[in-house]
Amino acid sequence: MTPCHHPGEDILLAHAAGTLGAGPSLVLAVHLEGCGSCRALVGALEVAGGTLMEQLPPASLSSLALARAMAAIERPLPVPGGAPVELGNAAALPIGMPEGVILPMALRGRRLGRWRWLAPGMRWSRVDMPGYPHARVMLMRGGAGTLLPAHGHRGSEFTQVLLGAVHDDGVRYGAGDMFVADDATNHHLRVGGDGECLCIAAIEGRMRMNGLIGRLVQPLVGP
Amino acid sequence: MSVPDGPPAPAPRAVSPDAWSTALLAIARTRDRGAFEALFQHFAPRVKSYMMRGGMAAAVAEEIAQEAMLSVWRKAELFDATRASATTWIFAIARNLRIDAARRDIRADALLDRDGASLAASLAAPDPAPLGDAVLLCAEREGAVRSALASLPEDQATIIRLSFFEDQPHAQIARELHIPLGTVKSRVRLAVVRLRKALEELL
Repeated sequence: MTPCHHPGEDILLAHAAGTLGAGPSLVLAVHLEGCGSCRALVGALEVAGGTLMEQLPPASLSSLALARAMAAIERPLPVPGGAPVELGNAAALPIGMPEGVILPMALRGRRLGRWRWLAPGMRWSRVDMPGYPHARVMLMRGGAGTLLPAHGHRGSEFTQVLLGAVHDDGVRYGAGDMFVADDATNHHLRVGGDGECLCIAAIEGRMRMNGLIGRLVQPLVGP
Repeated sequence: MSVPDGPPAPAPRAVSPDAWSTALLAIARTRDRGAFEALFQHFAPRVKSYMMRGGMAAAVAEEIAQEAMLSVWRKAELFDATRASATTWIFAIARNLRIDAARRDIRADALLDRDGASLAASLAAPDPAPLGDAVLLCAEREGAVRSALASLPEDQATIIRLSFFEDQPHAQIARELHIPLGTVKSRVRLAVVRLRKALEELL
């Protein structure tokens, strides 16, 4: 299915430039797997990056640089520590998933935490981000019709729908759609009525929970 | 195999797979050391320059450039000339190394992961023998992007350049250029829309 909601140009540019945070980049990578037009655009921006790099005045290298490089390529490949592929298979589905979910390539091989209670009808699982201790990425699932605790943001939240749909003030985000909420946004998210919903979300900055449930949940999802 | 003996013609280039892509394919096929040397002489100083633009010290930038070129040698088989030119592919490798250098927690397998995930590198296994037409289409696509980039108004081009090199979020660019954040974002949008149009006109 072709996505209807796409990340903004500034986000695609930051991704191509390598300046988007690790968490949002992962969410975007999931979106790109299912979105040919964003993929083409990121590809074009990478062409732009290469062209700009090409146009930079070349830096001078140390006199031994070439000799070092020619020696380095003769050395055997280091044996990788642990086979990532096996890790991928073992960790691919350590937790239950709603029926019909195909785990995106970008998530294969990542450790996923067990499902925890988030709110009535809602559960979440932490997506491990090795090397990025401050990245906060989570899977969230909710049954048909579930209301998420109303919340706002200081910073941004990047969400990609993997299954089902969520509605936010009359806008429907279906599988393959990505949406970004910033500090100006106050969410009133509701899972679509036709079935369970699964999303991946990355949070940058702090989330501001409103209401009683929000205040209960706040300590669970982190600072 | 012919080793390129000079830099390719400056952009916009003729629509043909460039000499650097040919050199990269020669490494993939026959571990051609002459081709690697030519690639190193051309790209290593530019990768170093790219790293230094992001604020990296010269010595560190040179280390990363070495690392990038070693990756080029080791991953040449992953290069797919129907998806990207050598310049785009090497830029993606350098960019990923810059991201990893920024967090200074380099693990060899993490680097492999990132490059494996890179779009320019390839989303799927490359064809063993890329079709000539597909390579030409790729060159044409990249040529269109380069022309669009070259014809951007200066204010938009500046924002794009800063976005790639200065390693700063747009809020910082806005402060530096003394323009509102909204203006940065709208210039980004205008510039990216132009690049998108250039791509669409090819379809």
